[in-house]
Amino acid sequence: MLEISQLAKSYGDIVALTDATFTVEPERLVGFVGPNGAGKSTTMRSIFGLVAPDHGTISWKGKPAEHASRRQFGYLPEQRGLYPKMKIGDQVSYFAQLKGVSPREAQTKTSTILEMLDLGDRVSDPLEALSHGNQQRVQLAVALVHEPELLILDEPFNGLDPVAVSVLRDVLRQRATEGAAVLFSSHQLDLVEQLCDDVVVIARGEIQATGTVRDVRRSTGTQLAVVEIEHPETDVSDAFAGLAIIDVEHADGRSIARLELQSTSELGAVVAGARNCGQLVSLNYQPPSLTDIFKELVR
Amino acid sequence: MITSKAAISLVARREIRARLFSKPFIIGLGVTSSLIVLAFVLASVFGGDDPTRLGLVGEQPAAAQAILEQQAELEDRELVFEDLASAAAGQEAIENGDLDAVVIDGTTLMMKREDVGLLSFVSAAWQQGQLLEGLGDAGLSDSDISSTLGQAIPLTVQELEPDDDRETKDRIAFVSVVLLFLAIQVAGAYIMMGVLEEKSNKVVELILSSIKARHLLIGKILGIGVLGLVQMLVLVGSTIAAAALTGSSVLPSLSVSMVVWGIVWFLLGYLLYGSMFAAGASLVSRQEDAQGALAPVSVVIMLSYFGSAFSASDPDSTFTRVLSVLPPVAPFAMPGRLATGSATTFDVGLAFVLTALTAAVVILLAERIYVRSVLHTDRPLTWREAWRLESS
Repeated sequence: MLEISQLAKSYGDIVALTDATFTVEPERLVGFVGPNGAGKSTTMRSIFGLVAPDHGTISWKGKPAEHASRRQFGYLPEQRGLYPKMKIGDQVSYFAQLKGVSPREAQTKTSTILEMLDLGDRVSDPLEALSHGNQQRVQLAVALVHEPELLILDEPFNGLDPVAVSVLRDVLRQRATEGAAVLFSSHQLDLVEQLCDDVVVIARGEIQATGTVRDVRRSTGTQLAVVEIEHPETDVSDAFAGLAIIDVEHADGRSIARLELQSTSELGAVVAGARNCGQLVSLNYQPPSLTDIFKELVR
Repeated sequence: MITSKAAISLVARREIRARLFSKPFIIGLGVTSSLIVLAFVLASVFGGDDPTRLGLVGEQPAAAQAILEQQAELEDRELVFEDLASAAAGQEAIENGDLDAVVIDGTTLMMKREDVGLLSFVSAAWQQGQLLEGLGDAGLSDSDISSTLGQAIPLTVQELEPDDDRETKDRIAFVSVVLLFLAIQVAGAYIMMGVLEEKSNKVVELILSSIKARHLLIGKILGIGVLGLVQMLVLVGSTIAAAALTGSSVLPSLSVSMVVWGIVWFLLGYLLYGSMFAAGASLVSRQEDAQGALAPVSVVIMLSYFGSAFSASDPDSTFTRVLSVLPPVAPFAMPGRLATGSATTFDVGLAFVLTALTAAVVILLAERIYVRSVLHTDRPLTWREAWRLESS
């Protein structure tokens, strides 16, 4: 388990992180979301010792993360970069060996990962001969090749075509199933919502929410109910007196009211109010999407 | 865990593999060795002793020409005579550069500017010729003349500091200064490119997520050092080949110990300057900023080079002795002084110790700067800023 505790970092007057605390557990896919400049990359770079935090600790399996333990980590940095003239097979194998994999094993693992990322036939090509998208895949191969127990990926889905996105989703899911702890940042919240087990929301250098995607979606007090009433006999606003009405629309003899609920227990009042008013046609109630939560948390 | 040794050796091997068979390395080496060969060929074509071309106008002492030819043979000097119709023709030939001098009527030596060497060479023969004529006129028989003259034994020279091949030694000293400068400068440029390349394409972030910056630096310096050695050996090889090819006088004076010393000083100079190049390059991320950041290093290396080249011709002066012991200069100057035998054991020992110590200190300072600045890719840093950065 990766434990990040009270991590803080400032660059002169600019505060990048104030108090970041969260964990990434094995077999969990964790989405790391937050607006630009919220401190995601600073956090991720700290895990690899590329940033010296002013304060706070990072531990892996209960011990402070240091050079030795980072052998088990895989990294996709925000600033992508590899050797342009080096053959991709040599390149992936080189980075595997820098993680302590033996040359022979590195070769096997390199073939496996390049095959998995559909680059099996490009092994002998220099990186610069590949398209931008394929260079991204090589970068991923480098992060994955040594089968790390902890994967830290900074915006891994950026710049990928839909096919590559789907390949990467499968790979990440598979790695988590095999026992890896996976933390990746992304601005694609719907993707995070579908793919991740857990989510960490960060804004202004502070963690705003952590937990399972489900818990985080239910974490805010306000939840949305959409009620559709046919032939309302009384004023819809009166029917829902005491509840927080966002707006009411009237069309074709129907009224659609959107209500903000403080808790699930108010659902009863919604149903009762609707029945008093007219014919209840539909009630759509669900916790806000991650996008809604995100907007609220980072506001 | 990947050990320090394994990390350093991986980095070093990658540097060697990536460059040894790369076009720029091979082409660069080819061009440099061709230049060396060309320099030797040009020197043998133009630098060799020209024959002395002497025009003759009018009556000359009978034996003068034969005496001069004998003399020329003794001095290993080529001699060409040309008979001319008039002094005016002689003047024209001198002005055109066709002749070096013209003797007119056995009394006047015409030349462009007074050349003392040529004057004494020619006039001695002419005087002797006139003397022979005079003695003959005075009634002495040829046999009397030759027996009398035969007794005149020229003075033997006793040299206090015999130095048969002073010129050759100076040439070796100069060539070694140029070779070492080339080798160190090129290897330094490779280090600069290596550091800059990893910063500019951002791969350094990924590398340093696995290994320590210090190990990356050491591996790079070692790997490029091996390439530098290969390059040095090729340069020395082509120098020897070129000298052999052109029958240069440099060749017989070369020895194995000179080559070994050359390599030792190359390595010292490489460590000293290479680590400075690495630190300088780590300050910037773009090629166009590199020149500015490396200006202090370039100034030191150029001054040291010019100082060595300048003083190579005067190896015994105090100025040269002091200069060649200074650590930034010693790697260029010392091999030449060793080759010419002008360096005392004390000079060599002192220069070696000072340079090795300085290199060690500079490596430590350079490491501090490199480790702190190599991950800063947003803008160029100054040396001072990099020094004050906190380590990550």
